[in-house]
Amino acid sequence: MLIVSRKQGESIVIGENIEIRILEISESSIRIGIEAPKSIRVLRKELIKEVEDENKESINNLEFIINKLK
Amino acid sequence: MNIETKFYGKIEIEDNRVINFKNGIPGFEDLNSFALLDIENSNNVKCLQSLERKEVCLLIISPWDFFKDYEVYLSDDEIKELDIKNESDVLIFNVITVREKVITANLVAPIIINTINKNAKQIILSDIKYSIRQEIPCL
Repeated sequence: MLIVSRKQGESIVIGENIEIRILEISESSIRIGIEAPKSIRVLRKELIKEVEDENKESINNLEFIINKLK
Repeated sequence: MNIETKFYGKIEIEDNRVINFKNGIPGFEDLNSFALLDIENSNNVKCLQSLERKEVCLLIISPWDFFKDYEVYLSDDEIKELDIKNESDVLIFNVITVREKVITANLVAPIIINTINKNAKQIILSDIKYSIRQEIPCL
C-alpha cells in the first residue's frame, strides 16, 4: 500500500482522471472530495458490507410473504 | 429445464428464464445462475431462485410499483459489463427483506437485468438519498 502524508487542501491524483482532495481535517474525521469519471462508482466501503448482510438476511422469513400472497 | 425451488418444489421453466450474474451478488458471490419466477396471485412480487443453492431464493419487486420517484443511473462500466444497448432492454428490481413482519426494500442495491442477453448485476448506488431498508406499506 502506498502511504502519503497530505495537508488540508492538498490532493492525490490517481491515473489521469481521478483526484482526491483533503477538504477538512478535524479531530475524529476528515472530509474528502473525490473527482472521478462517471464510469467509476465511488462507494463507502461499509456500504458494500451492508448490502452483503442485507442480501443474506433477505433469504430468511420469506414464508411470511409467500403465505400472505396465497 | 427442470429446477428445484425453495418454495415450489421441482418445477419446469423455460430456458430463457435463467439470469446470469457473472460475479454472483454481494453476500452470495459464488452463485451465478438464477431463475426469474412469477409468483402466482402476485403482480408485484417475483422470485429470484438460485439454481445452484436451492435455499437461496430472493423476493424482488419492481421499485416503481411502490416508489414512483425512484431513479437509477448506470455507470458506463456497468452498461459495458452487461452489454446494454437500449434502456428499454433493462429490467430493474429491488430485493425485499422481512423482519418481524415488517417488509423493506433495498433501494441502495438494485438488480439490473439485460433482458436481451440475460446478464445481470446487483449494483450499489452511491446516491445517499436511498435506504437499504425502505419500508413497504403493503404488497
